[in-house]
Amino acid sequence: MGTVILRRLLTLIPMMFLVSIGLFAISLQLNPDKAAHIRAGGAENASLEIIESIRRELHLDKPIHERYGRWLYDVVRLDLGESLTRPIPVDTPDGRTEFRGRSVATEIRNALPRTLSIAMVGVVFGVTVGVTVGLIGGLRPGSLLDRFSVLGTTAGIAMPSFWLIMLLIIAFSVNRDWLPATGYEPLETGLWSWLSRILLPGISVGVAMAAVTARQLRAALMDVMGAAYIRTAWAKGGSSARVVVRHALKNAANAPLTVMGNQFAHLLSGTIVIESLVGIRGLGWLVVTAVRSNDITMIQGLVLFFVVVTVAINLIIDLLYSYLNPKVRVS
Amino acid sequence: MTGTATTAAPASTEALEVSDLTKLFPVRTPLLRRTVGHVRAVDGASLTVRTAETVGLVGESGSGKSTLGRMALRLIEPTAGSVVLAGRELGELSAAEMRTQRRHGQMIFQDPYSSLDPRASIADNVGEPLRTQFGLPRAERDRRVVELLETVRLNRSHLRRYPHEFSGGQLQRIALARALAVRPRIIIADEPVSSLDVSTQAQMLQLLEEFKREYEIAYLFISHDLSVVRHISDQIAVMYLGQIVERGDNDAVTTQPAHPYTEALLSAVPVPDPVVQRSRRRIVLTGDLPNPADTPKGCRFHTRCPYVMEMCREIDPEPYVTPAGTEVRCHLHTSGPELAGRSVLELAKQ
Amino acid sequence: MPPKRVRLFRRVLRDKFAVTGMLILLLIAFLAAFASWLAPYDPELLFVGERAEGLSGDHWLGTDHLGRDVASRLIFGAQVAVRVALQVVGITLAIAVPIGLFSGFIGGRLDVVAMRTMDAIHSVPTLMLALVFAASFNLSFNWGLFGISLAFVPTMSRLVRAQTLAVREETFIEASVSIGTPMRRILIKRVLPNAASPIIVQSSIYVGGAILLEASLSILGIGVPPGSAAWGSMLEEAFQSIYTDTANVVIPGAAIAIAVLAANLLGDGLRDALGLDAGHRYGARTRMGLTLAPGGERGRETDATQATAPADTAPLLDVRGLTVEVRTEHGLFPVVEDVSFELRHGEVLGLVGESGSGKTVTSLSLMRLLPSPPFRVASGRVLFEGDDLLQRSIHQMRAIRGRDIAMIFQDPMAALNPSMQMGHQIAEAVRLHRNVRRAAAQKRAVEMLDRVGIPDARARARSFPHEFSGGMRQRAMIAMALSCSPKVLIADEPTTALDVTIQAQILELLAELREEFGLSIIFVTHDLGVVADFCDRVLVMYAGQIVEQAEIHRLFEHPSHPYSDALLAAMPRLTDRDKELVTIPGSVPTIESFPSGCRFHPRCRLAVEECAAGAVSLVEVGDSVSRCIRTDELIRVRAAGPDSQGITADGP
Repeated sequence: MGTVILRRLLTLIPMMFLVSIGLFAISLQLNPDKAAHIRAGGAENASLEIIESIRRELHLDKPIHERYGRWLYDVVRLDLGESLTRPIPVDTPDGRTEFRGRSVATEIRNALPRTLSIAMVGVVFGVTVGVTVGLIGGLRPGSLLDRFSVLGTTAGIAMPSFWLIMLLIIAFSVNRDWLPATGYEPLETGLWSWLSRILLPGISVGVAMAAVTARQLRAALMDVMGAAYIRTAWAKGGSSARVVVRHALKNAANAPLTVMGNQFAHLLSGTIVIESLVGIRGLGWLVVTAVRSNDITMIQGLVLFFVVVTVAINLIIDLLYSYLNPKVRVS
Repeated sequence: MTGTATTAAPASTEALEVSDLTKLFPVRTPLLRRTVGHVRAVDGASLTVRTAETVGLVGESGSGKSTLGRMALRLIEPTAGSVVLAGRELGELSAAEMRTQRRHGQMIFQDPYSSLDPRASIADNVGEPLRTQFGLPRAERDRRVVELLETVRLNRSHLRRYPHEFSGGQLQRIALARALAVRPRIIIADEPVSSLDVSTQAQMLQLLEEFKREYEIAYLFISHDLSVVRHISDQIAVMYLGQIVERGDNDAVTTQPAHPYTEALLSAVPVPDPVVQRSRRRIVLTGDLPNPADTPKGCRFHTRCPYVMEMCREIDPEPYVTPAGTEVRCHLHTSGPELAGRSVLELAKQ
Repeated sequence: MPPKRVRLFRRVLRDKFAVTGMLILLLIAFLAAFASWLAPYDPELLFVGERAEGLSGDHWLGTDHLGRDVASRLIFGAQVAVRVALQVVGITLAIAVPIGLFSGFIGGRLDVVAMRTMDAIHSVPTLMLALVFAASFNLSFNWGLFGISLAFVPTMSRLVRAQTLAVREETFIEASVSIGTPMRRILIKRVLPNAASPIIVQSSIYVGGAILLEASLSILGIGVPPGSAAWGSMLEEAFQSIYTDTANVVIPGAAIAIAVLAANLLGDGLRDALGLDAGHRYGARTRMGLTLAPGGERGRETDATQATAPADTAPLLDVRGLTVEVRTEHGLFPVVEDVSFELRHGEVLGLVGESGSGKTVTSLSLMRLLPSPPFRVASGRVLFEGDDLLQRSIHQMRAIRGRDIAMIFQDPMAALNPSMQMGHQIAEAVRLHRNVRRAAAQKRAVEMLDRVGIPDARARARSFPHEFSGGMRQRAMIAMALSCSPKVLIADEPTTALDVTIQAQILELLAELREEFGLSIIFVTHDLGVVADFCDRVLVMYAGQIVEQAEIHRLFEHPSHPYSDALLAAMPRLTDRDKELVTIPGSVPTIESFPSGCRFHPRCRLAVEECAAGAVSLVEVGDSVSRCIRTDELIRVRAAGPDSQGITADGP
């Protein structure tokens, strides 16, 4: 099992190298004027002096491979640089006031709880609903309940999350005043105050995960139930419950697990649009503002963050996978 | 089957001659994919197939018989050794020359359902070698394909059909027609009847024999089924863990096996006659085939051999030619116990 | 058009979901193509006095917050959708197909580099990638679309690669190489066409994905298509006034959802039609593997000649008139018809036949282990110790399975649970039928593994099936089957997948255990050699029927059915090299094409006109039972000596 983890980690090295090249490539269009504009406190014409000092600070005067090396060194130390928009005044030790960009890492840390909240609701919804519906369909294919679930999953997969949130807002906020349509309140302000604001966004991004998981689990179960070892389990005299729980489920888990990993990435994509629509200043909102203002360091930091999360989730899924498959563990 | 100018192959009597053919597949560590050893899939195998002769190559799974067959046509690149096909050493040929040389050695495969392209018509499948090797135009190809189909007892109406419309036995005959299209010197048949029902395999065997007589085709007939090999072969070679442990004349090998493995293999084949079968002496080998990545030291068969001697565990036996003309790798013939000047092995059989 | 493609097309057309999807996509394409004619107004035309109006005769989908005609904007929006779909899927295919094809076919270092690159791209969430591209190129629409395409590339190229790898393993590729066909032609003529199906399916699904993602970009106002009548933009604008005008949120959103749904439905339909992934559509699949015996003929006695024997001499298993039907695409067919036989105490009964003879279906029916549907027992009885198993409830049946009747199968690797330790699998069988603790069951499992000759059984009980060799797996399977000391063992081709030296070991083991456990065995096989070795009595099956039933020596010496006779004559024998093989013309019929009359008559050398006329019933011939009206002739011909027939031309 240790070997599996190690091997996975080893394949990550070239992959992350390629990702870093891609990310660094974004910064090739970095232009000192913009940073200087910030440093000048938003004033239109920054002096040549400031521009020159910033060029040095950002290593723009260095050859490209050295720039990459320095950038990578910073990133590995979790120094993601400064945002290129919305300057804030900072008091220097010698008593002057300087304008600096916001720290990308801090911005991400501040926005994270909001996105995490939405994602959590989405995943909980996606997994519970997905697994339940998938089990129903996989164990009783062709039943009335199954037919409904197939229609439901087909619709769920095609349902755009941004439209779903609008419909939910119409249903729960416009027509009835049950849930607030926009905004975010942290958990400290109260469980309901927190939950009521992330419930609709969370469900909107979780529906696709639920639908895809259900469909995959159903297909995998139906596949496994036709396997020869299931016939053996029947031949031993096993009951339906025993055959399903002891023999089918574990062997059917692989495909649904894999798609859950993929769906998590899609769910993150979903939060980008949803957060912008409902005005929750999470990571997605950061992404959109950064993209609109071409805030390169911020974009780099956010992409990196999303990549790391996606990779981590897939790694966990691989571990689960090798736990479920003794064959993978040894080979 | 006339009118095609095949390049005249040198008139040698050997259709195929392989010597000391070896194939090592690397064994890698799971983590860093470092090569830590080799599976000796085929280890120094030598074999000759003469024109219009059938050599049966038998062995159980993992014996390397299919790898040997594929190396003989360079479908798998040998690690060492030489292959002379229709008078030319294949190792010396360029890729383009090799493609041309392929017309002298064709192959038929075990699974009839996957050996033809399911999305191509029979005309397209069987006509492929005619296009590749002779560049025949379509109309000419179709005419020749019909002729070929007729030789395998199919007909013109099958030309535009697709593989899924045929039974396994018919598909195997179509595959044979494709192999026959370039009039090869040798056909390497890898388990050609083992996926066919008994009631249809006789058709295939009969066709193979007929073409051998009519077109002087040689066969390397690879099979795990000794009964079939016994029926069709002139010579038989027995493989165990990558080595040819015994080879010789069909009757000699099957009636007076010189290697203990051959003997055990023969005794394990059930004969479809209860009286004979229930009165035969049988040798049930103990244990499994050793891991091919970790072949036993000394004689490879020593772990399962009923006659194992001390030296068998240490020294790999060299080929020895018995008085019956069989070449065998077994110490019993050279260093085995003797009784009144005769090998115990022979006495035991009486 | 080749028949395969015609069939595929018909199958897609039969799927009403796929047809719906296809029609909707065609409608969208039609709207896009003729937008200027179809739209009632210019999409940008402002009806100043008619802002945010509901449905009316003038504006049949109402107007938006600026007073523009919604229907017209929707129709023009279709143009954007079509462009997006074509552009994104086109670029995706143009990049992914060559990468996947070369990566899969050439492999090696190229493959490693390509796949790691795909991993890297795939690790960025789809929308993020599109946004980054749009951001890097002045929020350009085209670059946004390129970002979407690029996000689709990893999955698509992996799919192409996987397909290429699978096709490359096909024998016909090796055949092309052995013919000398150049690599380029193999790739284009053999690999690509055979790898195309899943690529088409995925492309269809990506049509939906592209529309969805482009709408996301439009909503975010990043990479908005030129001309603002995109469905995403309409939705975004409508959302601003969601509290005053909900209708305008519903309409463009529904357009997007329907387009995506249509693309998915078509993709699913294609997938089904291409047979890529059965099993996500209801009705197509089976239930649970429990054969129920429904229908009016349950338990009807079809074979009146067999009267119930007194209890003490009664056979252990008495099968009467068993008919099993299967539903295929083309209707309901009998796979097993009117099968009657007895299994006596302590005997080994051989059930011999070629593929499609119904021997395996018969053996599975006894334990009711066939999936239902598509299988069903049409009539018959399976009396075990006088009790009709087909009348038992599933609950009662469970108590019999494994305890009284146990089964071993052909492919032990597939028949054993890959993710469960061998010892646990055996212990489970013990605990199902004996009221013992886990530890005692585990002890019994180790005992049984030891008994069947697995060395170091205690340690091996903790191994998984894949850690055993083929022979050892079959031994473990036998240990599991015998762990509750059953009375009957049904062995379905237990040695077919094994090498002959291992087969000999297993047969020897079974012979020993038969004595020790006092087993009665039904031995299903196609190998007459194994039958000669192991069986006491034999049933020969052909095309779903028993054609001969005889004591072992009798069958081999005096076969009383021409099929048994021909089969024996067609087998090469180790002991007789010069024997001329008799060839049987034609092929084994498939269940959908069983001939009328005697099912063997089209291939029989003794067939006369009457053979085709009507069903032939079993008759006693000396000590055997045979389903033939020409047995006298067979005896005469056999006496005259064997003769060869030669192969006759035949057609499919």
